Amino acid sequence: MTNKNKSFPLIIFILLIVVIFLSLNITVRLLLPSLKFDMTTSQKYSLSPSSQKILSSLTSPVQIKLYLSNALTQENPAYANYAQFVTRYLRKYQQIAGADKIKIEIIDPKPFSSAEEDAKKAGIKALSDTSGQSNLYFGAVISNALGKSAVIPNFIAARSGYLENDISRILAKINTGSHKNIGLVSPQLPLITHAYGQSIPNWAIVAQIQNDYNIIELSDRISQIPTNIDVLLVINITKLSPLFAYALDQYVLRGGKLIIISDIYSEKKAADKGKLSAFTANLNPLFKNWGFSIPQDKIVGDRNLGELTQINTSIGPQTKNYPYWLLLNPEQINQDNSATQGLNQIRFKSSGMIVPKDDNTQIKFTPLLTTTSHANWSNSDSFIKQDQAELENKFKEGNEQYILGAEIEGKFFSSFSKNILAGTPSEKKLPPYLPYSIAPGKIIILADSDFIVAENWADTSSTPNNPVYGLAPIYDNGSLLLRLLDYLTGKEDVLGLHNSEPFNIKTVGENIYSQTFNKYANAYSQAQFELNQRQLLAQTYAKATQQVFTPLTAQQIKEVENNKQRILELQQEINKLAYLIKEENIQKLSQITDYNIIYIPLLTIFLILIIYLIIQKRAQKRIGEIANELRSN
Amino acid sequence: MLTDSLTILKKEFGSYFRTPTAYIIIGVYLVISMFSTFYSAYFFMNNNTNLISFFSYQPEVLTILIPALTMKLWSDERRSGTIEFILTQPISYNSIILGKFSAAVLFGLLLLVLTSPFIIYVSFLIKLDWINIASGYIGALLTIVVLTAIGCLISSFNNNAVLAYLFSVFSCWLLTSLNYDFILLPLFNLSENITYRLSQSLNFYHNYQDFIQGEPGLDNLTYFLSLTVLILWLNRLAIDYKKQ
Repeated sequence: MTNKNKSFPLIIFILLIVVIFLSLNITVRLLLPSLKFDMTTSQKYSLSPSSQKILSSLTSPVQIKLYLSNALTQENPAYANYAQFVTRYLRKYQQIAGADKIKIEIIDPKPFSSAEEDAKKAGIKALSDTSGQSNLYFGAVISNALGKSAVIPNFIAARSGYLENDISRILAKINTGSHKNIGLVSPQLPLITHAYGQSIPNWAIVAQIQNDYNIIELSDRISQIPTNIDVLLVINITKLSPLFAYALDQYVLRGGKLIIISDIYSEKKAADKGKLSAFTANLNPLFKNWGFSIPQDKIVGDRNLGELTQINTSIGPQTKNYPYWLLLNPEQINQDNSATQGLNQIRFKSSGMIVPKDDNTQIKFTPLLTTTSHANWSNSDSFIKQDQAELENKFKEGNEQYILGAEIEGKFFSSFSKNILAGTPSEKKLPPYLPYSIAPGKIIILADSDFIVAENWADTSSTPNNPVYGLAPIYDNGSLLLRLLDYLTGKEDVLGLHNSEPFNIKTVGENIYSQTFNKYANAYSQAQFELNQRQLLAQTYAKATQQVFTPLTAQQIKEVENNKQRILELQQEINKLAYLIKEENIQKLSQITDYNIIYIPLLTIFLILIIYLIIQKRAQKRIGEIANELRSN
Repeated sequence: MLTDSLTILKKEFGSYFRTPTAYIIIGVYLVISMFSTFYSAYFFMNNNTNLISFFSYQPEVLTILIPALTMKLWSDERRSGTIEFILTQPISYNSIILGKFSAAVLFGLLLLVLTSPFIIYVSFLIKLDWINIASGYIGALLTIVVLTAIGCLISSFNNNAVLAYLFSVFSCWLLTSLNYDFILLPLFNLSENITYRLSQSLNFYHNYQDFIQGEPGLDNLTYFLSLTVLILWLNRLAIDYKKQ
């Protein structure tokens, strides 16, 4: 047999084996694509049963167009990682729903291309590259065959824990099509106010709600809640008019669903309009028939849930546990109720308390949010008279657990004895008066309104161009309100969706910077505090000299000069501190780099060398012993 | 067969430490790995709960270093003529191939173990996702297994260790860094989904990424293991061919 003849079967054999290898891999990939293991602590690649239910109920094929600029992932490693995560996540949806149900198209919208035009038209917002040019894209358009669509203008990494929530909600939304109506009564907080055509970021919660619901703004003076309202949301009424009280009463008796946010002391309002404006109307005349009350003079504090915050004291700013700013943990959030299940951390500020009435057996009262059993309360008046430092100082730990949020369900009696407009020409315009519920009503009461203010629970820096998907939650406050609405409107499919990752994941660089900054934080805040005071003083001097034309005395001139000098010194001190922080941060980073690139490898080699030499020496000794034994034999 | 392989493994593994090679490889590996982690993969800027900065450049680092472990495995035997002696011993060829291959894999595993001080160090800086990191390590180990198999195969063709090293680096680079999606482009018009899955199943990058991102599957394991078996089998053919 010649060499050529010998090689021929071998080549055929090799080719056959290669074909088997390819077939095996392709078969496994095509037939067993779902045999994947989620090897992450937070199980971030496992879609929740709610998402799976949404996918199984898809009635028409969905197309996901992911606009992702290659240049963005090449330039920015953080985007590259997140883009990969998003793509992987979308594929997961496709894998579970089936390729016929979800089609994914990844498009690189190159500058001045038709794809870029399409992206812009669809509502994808451009991101800036390193040179400042805005021609990079990372967003998605999700549409179905029925013509319904939704746009994520930009994916932001800070919202990664909400990715499943966002995509599943969109799929549920475009699948069902119709939006439920939320009636909103919020005379005190300007929830829907727009400034210069842009929604105010502080009320980002509105954008989150509007994304899933129609919001119908209602006056607090109406005598009847419109029948097209699915859920009524009432936030901090300043004055309860008899007409509106009647409207609420009858709405609930007709089986209406109501969320009332009634804050004894609104910190937002106190900051915006002064402490005296921070109080809300007493709704207890209505609440008593609904089986609970909110004491109008009690503000809850709990040292165990108190937030560590900087408080201005007589000796400058200090970090203290402020017991009236509460960070509620899963133990304080009802995990058995489908509305609050899975929520991790909620931030409440100066909350009131909800006290259930014991005598009503026809009403089901379920606490949703509570304090620990070591909470106490302070009189609401003290919030006007005292500052944070005093309030913090005077707080004493108690031994009570208070309810901050609750669900009330059942049939109620009316607070009114007859139609409020009885005997007037308008009487007939109202539906007949009900003395008792004709259908069970559902009420959710929350004793704090500050929790919806975005600055208390989210980073809104990316929201101006991307109000819904640019919001990076830090706490679950927004989810709480959204989930309560989902719960009352009966959107069971999206209720199980929640944040899958811990909030505030920091990079190593951010952690090191925080550590370095914290070292100088007190000195920095004190200098900043004094600088602010001195600058205020300087402004007062300047105003005084402008308004009063009498010349300053020598003493006053000296004081002004001293103040100016001190301002300069403080500015220099702040600059010096900033420089020190920067330098120390750089030093720490290079120290970490040096340790890992130089010292640890050197030490490792050295240790291995020593271990090897010890092993060698023992082996030589053993050989020597054997040789000696042989010789002696 | 297993005892024979174990004997060869011990001999080959020990031989790494008889020369400065092992220490140089360990040192270079640790330095390059850390350098790529901190400088190329932006360690301080990335969310590194899964140590993505460390794992993302491992294929490139191992492409340079694994051939240094395998280059002499067969080429030295060929150059010094001991291959004929070995092949005439009452040991099966498979035992020899497996023994030499396992020794290099074990050394590769040692390299990975030696990165543990870095992981421990980082655990004091941020909260790590240990399960995801374990997945990343499995991916890195499987990469070592495949690259070692390639190195062994190339070494079995060459008398010259330097040439074996260069060819191995080139072959490993072809596997780990080249994107073969262009081959599948004609299929794209037929079925986008099937083309995507084909590209995923045969592309080293995608299979490795599944591990480091914490979502490995049977498909990825099949890819790495079947590729290793295929290459080791070719190694066996090369030895047979040499004997004839």
